[in-house]
Amino acid sequence: MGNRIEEYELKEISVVITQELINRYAEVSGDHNLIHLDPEFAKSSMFGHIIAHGMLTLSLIDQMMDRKFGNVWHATGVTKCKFRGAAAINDHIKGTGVLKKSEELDEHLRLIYSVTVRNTNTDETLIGGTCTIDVPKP
Amino acid sequence: MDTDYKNIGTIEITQDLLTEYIGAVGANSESFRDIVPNMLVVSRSIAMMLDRFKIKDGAIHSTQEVQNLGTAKVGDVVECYALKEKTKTMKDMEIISVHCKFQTDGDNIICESRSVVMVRENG
Repeated sequence: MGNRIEEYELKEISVVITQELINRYAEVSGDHNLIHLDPEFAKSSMFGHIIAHGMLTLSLIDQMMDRKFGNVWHATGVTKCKFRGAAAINDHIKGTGVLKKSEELDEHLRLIYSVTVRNTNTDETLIGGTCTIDVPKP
Repeated sequence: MDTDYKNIGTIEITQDLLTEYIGAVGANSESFRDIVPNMLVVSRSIAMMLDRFKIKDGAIHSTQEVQNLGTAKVGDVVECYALKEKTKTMKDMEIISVHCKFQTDGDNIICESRSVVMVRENG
């Protein structure tokens, strides 16, 4: 793709998980699962502590694609991700994406990114998957 | 809408809801300018889905797919339709997959999603 690779590079995005952020996300999503909110309940879970909502961590990927592609992302984008780990309070998490493949369609270019969200405190991958988007041909 | 899909709730898209969502995901002013991200409605649908299908507290989200087909705008009411696709058991975990379709007032499907959650069978 020559110089076009740079044109389609994604900028990483990060956030620090806090209980306040989790609480706000619980309110706006309506997801009051105790594993996100109740330390005693969370102790008995497989994680042993409070974890952030998966969709909160996944939002980093959505933000990253939104910043690069705007409306086109929201009209044609496809996200397919697996949650491999969970973010805890005070974890610094970072979303990144690498263009893996492009396909010429009739009127569009289909871009397929490998995307991840990593916990930079532990270097653990929390989310892995792909984002696919059809952009107008240059 | 396919009759196998159940209406699990509605989401009224307000400016306040959008502002709260943007704050809640830690986004800054570079994100979601003049747009209602479908992740907002998918996020809301998770709680509706857990409630509708009586999925216990402690459920772990294992997979998420989102296909964007368009966007809602502030003032729209989004209807969420869900189909519980399959439930299987692996060791002591129940694995539940739910496919959702999100439709605005104009009968436009703006987004489809598939969520897979795991929950311990014995709490």
